[in-house]
Amino acid sequence: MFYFVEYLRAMRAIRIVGIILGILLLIGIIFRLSFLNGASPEAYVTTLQSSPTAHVSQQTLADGSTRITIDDPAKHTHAVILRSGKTVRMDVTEPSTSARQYHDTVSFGSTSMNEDAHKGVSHVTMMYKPGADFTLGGLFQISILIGVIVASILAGPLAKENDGHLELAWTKPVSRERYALAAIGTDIAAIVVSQLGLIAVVLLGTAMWVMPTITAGRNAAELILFSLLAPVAWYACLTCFSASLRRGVGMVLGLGWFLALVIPGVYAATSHTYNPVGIGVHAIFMALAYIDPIAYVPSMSPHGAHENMFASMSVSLASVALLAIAYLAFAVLQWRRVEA
Amino acid sequence: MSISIAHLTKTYGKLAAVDDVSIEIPSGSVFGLLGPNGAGKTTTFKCMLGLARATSGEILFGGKPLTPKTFEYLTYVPERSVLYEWMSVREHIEMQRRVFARFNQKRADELLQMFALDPRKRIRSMSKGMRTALAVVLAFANEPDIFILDEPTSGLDPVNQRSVLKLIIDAAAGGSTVVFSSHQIGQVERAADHIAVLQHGKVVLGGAVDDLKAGSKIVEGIFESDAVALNGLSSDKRITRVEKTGRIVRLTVRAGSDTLAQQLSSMGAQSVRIVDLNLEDIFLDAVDAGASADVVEHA
Repeated sequence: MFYFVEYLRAMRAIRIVGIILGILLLIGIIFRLSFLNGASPEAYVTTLQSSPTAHVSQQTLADGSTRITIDDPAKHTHAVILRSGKTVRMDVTEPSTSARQYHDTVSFGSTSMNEDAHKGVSHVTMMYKPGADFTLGGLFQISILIGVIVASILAGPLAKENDGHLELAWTKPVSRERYALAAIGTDIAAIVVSQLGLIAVVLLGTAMWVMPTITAGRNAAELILFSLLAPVAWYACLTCFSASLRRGVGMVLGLGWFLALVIPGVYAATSHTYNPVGIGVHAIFMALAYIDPIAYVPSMSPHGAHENMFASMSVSLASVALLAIAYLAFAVLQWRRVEA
Repeated sequence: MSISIAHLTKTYGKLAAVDDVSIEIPSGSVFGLLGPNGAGKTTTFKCMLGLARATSGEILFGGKPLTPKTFEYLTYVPERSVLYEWMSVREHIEMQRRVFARFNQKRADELLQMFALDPRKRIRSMSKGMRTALAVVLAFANEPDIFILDEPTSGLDPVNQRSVLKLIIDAAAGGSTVVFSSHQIGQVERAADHIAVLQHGKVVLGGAVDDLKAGSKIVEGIFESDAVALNGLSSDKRITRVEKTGRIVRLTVRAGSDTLAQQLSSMGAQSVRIVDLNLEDIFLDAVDAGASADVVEHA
């Protein structure tokens, strides 16, 4: 295992990610426990139904939905709960806890609530979905951020060897190319593991409140591949630009982030300019954006569509794949020419 | 396993760090590479190991050029620490164990104990000497056929220096070939059977230590006062070096030691003796070559 040093580096990064995700999960558990039995709409319905003075009736409507009517004269409460597919609508009329007149609107995740209080009577309309739907592609897209963060931590493994360790790295019974590729492979595995870790934490965190359901969704395979390749391309980019450096790998990693975000920013900001300087700047930044893996990372529209500065998801996927391969190949080629 | 270096040259721009160096290192020998700072010792090692690209020349290990497989039986201790600051001693040992098929864990444990190294300790908290000791442990636990050791006693205390020398001698006795450099000529004299002296990237002297010692002598005369006239001595072709320390005059001579002893007597020396050259004399003589005879005066 000649990539043992990189394995240790990768394990350290995974340990850090594990600690951060563990803390987030712990905060979620504490938050959930503090709202136990009181926070969900389902819990509220159960409370209304279980009142000893409540009259509960249930009927199935022609469209297959069910309607539960709860009438509790002792508590001056009347509620109608309509379950239609995955959506639940609840209308509750009950005594107001406040004498004043008010109107409230609350929206949290898939739950929205309107409350009108007037003359001591409150009318609440609540709509919610008793589960959380995830698409597979969407879940992986969430993990891109942690992927590029871990990629930034691990990037530049070759430059890290250049900084005073080549005598150890290059006196192993293995070729330089194989050594470099094994180190890179180890880091890529760590990036993927951290992404899967985040997905697991998202699902566990959701499951503490509502049961998550996962569907394939549109372009699942493309989205998953893109989500895994984008951080790798970013890692490859940083590794390539630092491969022949003896020192200053930290500067490349730090400046890399700055440039990666500035390039698509300037490209977008100058896209509607008509003066010659602006057009020139736009052309330069467009060219740079094509080799900036971060510029391909999509922002999610409310409709879940793929939106980035380039064309379709397929084009973006092919581009990041090509960038990853090209950057890594160039990194290895540079590194084998370095002298100790 | 023998090592052959033929016409090795390494240039950086116009500067020749190593200039047409040719050395033959017999199998099972301890070879000392000597030279002042900047003479090209480390560059020679780096070229031998492919860590720096030689401008020209050929290096063969057991008759074969260097390949990654060569490192299965060759180990290198560099001049400066190349250990990973953030890793522990144990992790470095583990790193070697996982790579080298010949790595002997029991031997590694013994060597750690010999140098009193704590396996839990991180490199960043270790002194220069401890780092050198760990590099030596990693090299010797690999049990290779060829050791290339660039100042392997640097920063070590005298006890540990002696231990490293013993390891070198034992390794050669076991059939390994050891090439090492050191600024401590006494150590090289104790361990090496062959040497080469580098200066300005060139080999200025080389061969078996016994042969080199046999060629020259020291003629030492003690005079009544320190007002000794050395006229004529420095131009004598047989003398390579003249040293004067107070009343003592030391001549390093290539030939005619008896005649020169008589000459010192006739100049008024109260006592004259002829002694064999030590390696330090040979080294100083070699790096001073160029001037036919130096007159070095010590207070």
